[in-house]
Amino acid sequence: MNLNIKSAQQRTYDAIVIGSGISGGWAAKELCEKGLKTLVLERGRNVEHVKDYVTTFKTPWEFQHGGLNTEKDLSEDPVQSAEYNEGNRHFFVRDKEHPYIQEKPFNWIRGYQVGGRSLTWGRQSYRLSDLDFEANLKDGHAVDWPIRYQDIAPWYSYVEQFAGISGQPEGLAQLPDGEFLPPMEMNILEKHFREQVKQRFDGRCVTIGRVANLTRGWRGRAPCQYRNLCSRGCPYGGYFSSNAATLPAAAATGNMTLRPFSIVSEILYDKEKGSASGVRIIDAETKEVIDFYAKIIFLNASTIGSAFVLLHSTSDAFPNGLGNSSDLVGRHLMDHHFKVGAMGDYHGMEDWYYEGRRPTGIYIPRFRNLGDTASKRDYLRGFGYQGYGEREGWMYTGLTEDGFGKSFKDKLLRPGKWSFWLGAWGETLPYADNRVTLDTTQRDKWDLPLARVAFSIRDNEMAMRQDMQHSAAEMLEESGFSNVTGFDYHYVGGECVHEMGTARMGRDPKTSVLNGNNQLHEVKNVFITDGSCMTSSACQNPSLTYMALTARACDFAVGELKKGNL
Amino acid sequence: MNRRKALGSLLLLAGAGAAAWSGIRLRNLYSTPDLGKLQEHTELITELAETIIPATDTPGAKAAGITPFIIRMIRDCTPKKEQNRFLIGLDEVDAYTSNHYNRPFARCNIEQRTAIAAHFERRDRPYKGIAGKISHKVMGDSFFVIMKKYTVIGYCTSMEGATRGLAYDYVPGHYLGAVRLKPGQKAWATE
Repeated sequence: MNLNIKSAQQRTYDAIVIGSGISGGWAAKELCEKGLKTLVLERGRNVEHVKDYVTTFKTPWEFQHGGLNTEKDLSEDPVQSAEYNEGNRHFFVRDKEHPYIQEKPFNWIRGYQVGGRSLTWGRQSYRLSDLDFEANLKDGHAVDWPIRYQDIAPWYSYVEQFAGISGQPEGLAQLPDGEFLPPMEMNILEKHFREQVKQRFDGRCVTIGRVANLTRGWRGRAPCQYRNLCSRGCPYGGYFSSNAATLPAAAATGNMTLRPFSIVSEILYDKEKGSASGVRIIDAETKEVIDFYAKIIFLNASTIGSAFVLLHSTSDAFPNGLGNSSDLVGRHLMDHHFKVGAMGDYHGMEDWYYEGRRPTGIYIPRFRNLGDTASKRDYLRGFGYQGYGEREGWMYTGLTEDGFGKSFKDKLLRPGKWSFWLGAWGETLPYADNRVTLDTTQRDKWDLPLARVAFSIRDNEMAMRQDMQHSAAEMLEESGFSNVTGFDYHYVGGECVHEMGTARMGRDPKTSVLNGNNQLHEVKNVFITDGSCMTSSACQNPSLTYMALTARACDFAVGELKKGNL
Repeated sequence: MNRRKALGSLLLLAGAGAAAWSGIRLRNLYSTPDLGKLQEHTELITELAETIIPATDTPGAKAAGITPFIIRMIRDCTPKKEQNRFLIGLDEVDAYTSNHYNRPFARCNIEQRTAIAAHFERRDRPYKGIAGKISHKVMGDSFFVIMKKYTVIGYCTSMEGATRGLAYDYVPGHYLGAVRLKPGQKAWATE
């Protein structure tokens, strides 16, 4: 260990941000724009916007395996290969290099690089509402959120106006409208489905996916070109990522120092001052240990990563981990449960097709347990649907049509039949024993303990899944679809890549880790605004909420700093 | 997990299947396949692919040059037991052709090739329902299913297949949700 290469002063900043993914990127931008000299630590390699999108311009025939994974990929990356393909594999970690322990099967999908998983995210962007923020209080699960919709609404607007979210306002209380760019267009079958559902199902709405893809030029980024290759990185900046949007804004201030290959092993705590003094990193390449210092620290290492850092930051004052006197750090891990829904065929509209590859489908906002008797079901909370209508292409025809030769080829090369797919994304309740802990019996190549993950869904989710399947099939059947088939594939925890909840916000230091400003109750100059802060999971795709909470917490933190409170 | 992957998992369940159990001993499926034999069968693979996707008013599998792709997929992207089933299947096509027509597949005429392919396509058709699922789990895809799958993927992702067989739009630049089909309209090569 060599802590004296540079003087401590040279290693001192106003702020340190741990992680450069979707929330860390926002923290970097906000803190830098407010004039703070900010060090951004990223454990993986650098990924420069456009330059490092090495597959983005490739045609299908430029890949060795038609886009598919090899047997070697499947055996060496049993977890990550469930999510990646030949075009975006380089934005996922190698499982062998980054082991963790699955007490029960849990897919921990990671992208250790500058930009993190903001490069490969699904880009669905939905606001939470008071239905979500009041849920815990009303049904007595976990603890009450310390904020309400009105606290976060202006910050949703703020981040939407920068990120660029396209969508259609619908005026729904349970899924508030945002500051939208023009919506993407539904195709002819989706429009038909929207009308049918509106007529036949009171209060249900089929809307176009609200998605962080630009439908016009926006803040120096070009509009989406409808290639639907987002997860390779977009050379046009057509979707929101740290690399395309927040990190360039942070860099433009001249206040950001970005340090890749910096694995944060712990946050340093100064017992006398009663605050964090900085962070300790291990250089991923040289294994050199270096300390950096700052007045405030934003921990945005992802839900499991941030819990790891807190649990590993032990001291006399915090023998169980920083800010963990409550023993709640790592608990209440949530993910959205999904892979359940229905699909059906549509006969008609045979003369119609579509042009372009739209990078989103449709969305059906939650319609269960909205507070009235009609929508009440015998389980708690609810779910939303994503889906799409399409004419089946060669991937389907080629695998399902019998025969070969000229007649087979004719079918293969023509637009196939219209079909519709609906899949539900459901809320998971926070359970104390769905939990991340540290396993010190095994260590990784940086001599750090391994994260141990225990996670399962329970009766409430299982009951919800029946409705998720049934209601999808019912909507398709009532809307004139044939051959409607429900499905429920085995859902494995983590597969949705919506982990959250391991350092929840709350009002009471005894029952929560963070306060209403995402500040550690016990260490006021440490803020956590990634998924770990979530008090409940709601059923909406969560990234937009992390962005809004981050911008809000940065505003608060800099205010406190100026007042001399930090 | 994206939406298409979820659909993909279903397709694999519904569309993949099993051959008749007869004639293939499970033991053979778990032995180490001699992948060097793939090169010896290059001509047969090429002609079988062309029989599945023949040249018409658009290029066929041969013009698309997908034989190296099929061999690469067998080598890199195919579980061991399916590699074995594929190699055994090639030998069986050779033997069947020789028995019935007394010449190699590549020297058979179109009618003979069609008859041979039809025999193996029928033989290897997946079982429906639960029997198909169990069989697939134990045995993997059958010879003809594997051959057809890689022929389709190879053709539809090749330059000839994507741009001349199908319609490929490199950078669409726009999305239109309702467009009238034109006469002879091709399906999109990519989604």
